[in-house]
Amino acid sequence: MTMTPTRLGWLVGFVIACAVPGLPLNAYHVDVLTTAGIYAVLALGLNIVVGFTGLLHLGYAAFFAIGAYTYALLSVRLGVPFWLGLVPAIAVAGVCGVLLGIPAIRVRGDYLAIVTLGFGEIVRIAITNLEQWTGGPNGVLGIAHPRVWWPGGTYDFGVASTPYYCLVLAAVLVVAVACSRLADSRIGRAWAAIREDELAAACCGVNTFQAKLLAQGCGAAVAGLAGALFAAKQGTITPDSFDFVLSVMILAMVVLGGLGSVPGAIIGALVLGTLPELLRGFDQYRMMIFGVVMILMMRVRPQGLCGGVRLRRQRSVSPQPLHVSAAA
Amino acid sequence: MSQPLLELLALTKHFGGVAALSDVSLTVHEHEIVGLIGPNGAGKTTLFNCVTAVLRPERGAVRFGRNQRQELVGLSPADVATCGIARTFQNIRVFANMSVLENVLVGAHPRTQAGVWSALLRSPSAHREETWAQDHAMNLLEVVGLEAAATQVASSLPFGFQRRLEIARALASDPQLLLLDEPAAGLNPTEKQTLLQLVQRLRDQGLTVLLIDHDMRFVMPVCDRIVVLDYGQKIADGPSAAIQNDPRVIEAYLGKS
Repeated sequence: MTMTPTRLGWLVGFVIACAVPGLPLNAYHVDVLTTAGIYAVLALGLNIVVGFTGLLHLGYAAFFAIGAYTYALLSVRLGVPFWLGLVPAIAVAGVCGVLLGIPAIRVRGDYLAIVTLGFGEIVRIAITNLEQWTGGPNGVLGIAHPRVWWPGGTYDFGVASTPYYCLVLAAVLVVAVACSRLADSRIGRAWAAIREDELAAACCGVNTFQAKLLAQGCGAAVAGLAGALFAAKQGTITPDSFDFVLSVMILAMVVLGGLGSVPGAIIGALVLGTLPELLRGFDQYRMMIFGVVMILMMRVRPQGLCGGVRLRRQRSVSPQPLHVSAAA
Repeated sequence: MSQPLLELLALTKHFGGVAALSDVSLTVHEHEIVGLIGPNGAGKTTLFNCVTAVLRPERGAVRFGRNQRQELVGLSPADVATCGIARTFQNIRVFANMSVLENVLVGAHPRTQAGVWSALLRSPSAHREETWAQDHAMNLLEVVGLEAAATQVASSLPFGFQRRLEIARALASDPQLLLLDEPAAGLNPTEKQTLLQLVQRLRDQGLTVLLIDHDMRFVMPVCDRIVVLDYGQKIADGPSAAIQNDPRVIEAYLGKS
């Protein structure tokens, strides 16, 4: 393999990330980085939907919640261990992504944003009110932490911060590789074609209905993974961790990094995940500085840190709406 | 004469009160180059949109195929493309943020199968297919003379190149029928000549072409047959020479004396 600048960038980033546990950092720092890592997984997943396929999604936190609650309930009610619980968490979130995709597929652009926003709120409110299953506003308590076995004993992740950091780092790596591979495949090109010009994509033989559902499903499945990691790390989850602000935050990470860019999503998540903590010294000016940074970014580099694509308004070929076949 | 490949039967499409197409019937035979001409607003692009299922006609049928002819009305645009009809657009619609090569690779979508799992696992079959698709796309870029621009972003190409890119993208699905919507619009005379030669070469390789233009002089030399539309109606259909002297065509283009 030749060493391109992109590969070198990945390698440097990976080495730094691996060195973190060896640095003289306290548990708080590692914890902030772990949370940023979970954000990175979320941003990578949302990037599939918004960046690759160009479908604006404002309710992404819902899938994060679905993944987290799936693992949390399986763990608390049935005693399912973390590694086994990952599979249903990913699967349930992915299926929910596809199910939301079916009705949402007929609307585009701003309307899609409104539908997904509504979905995000419905999920959060449903979780809050389904008290007998989800514990309502009190959330789910006593979720099992991950545990590893080897001949000679078991190790429980407990409340230490470093093991979670390593786990999340591995998840970021796996998801990033998966996203890069997808982007550079037949499926990824079909997604990009839909983002660029849906009608032209359809006329090239891309089944836009299927491809969009697939993108929604893949994106949601990644959020399910992040949710299970989050639930296992926290040990306790409540519905207010999955609000609209989180959905917007993740979207901001994707846009900041550059729509459609895999390293961009990670960098965006790291910046927005750690910036509020780095600015703690500024006390009450913290959020103001945060806002100024975001505005400056939009002015100076609207394509994002890693130079992503820019979404355009949908155009139509004729005065009549595109005929969409339901038979797909 | 060879057998019919595309048959339109009494195709009708209205936009509000305007009849964009009224009872248009038309046959395109295999290995033919048919020119579809007519003044602005005659319904040429609407006809293309009805054939490629972008629009659904109110009445009429679109039958396509070599031996058993398939009904296309009611299919999705993607299904039509998979059947073997590829098209270009009047106002260029290349995938602007993708590379030239990627644009053509999207065109090869119906000829490839790799799904999510084979992409994630980089399975040997997916790898083989990808290699094939890349070679196929590069060959087509050579056919249209864009091989040197393969890695460029499509939006950075000059206008005339983008038109050629759209043709390469359309060819990537190995279509039986190619629909070209004003391929010569905005091209200079040299570029038009290159395009004409390309269309003829493609026909010689076995492709059937239906092309729209409103410049009669451009289409005359390449087309085996010309169909003239005016106000959504077919007013003439025949060999170039006959069309040129048809009084109704002259009237549609020049007005009544």
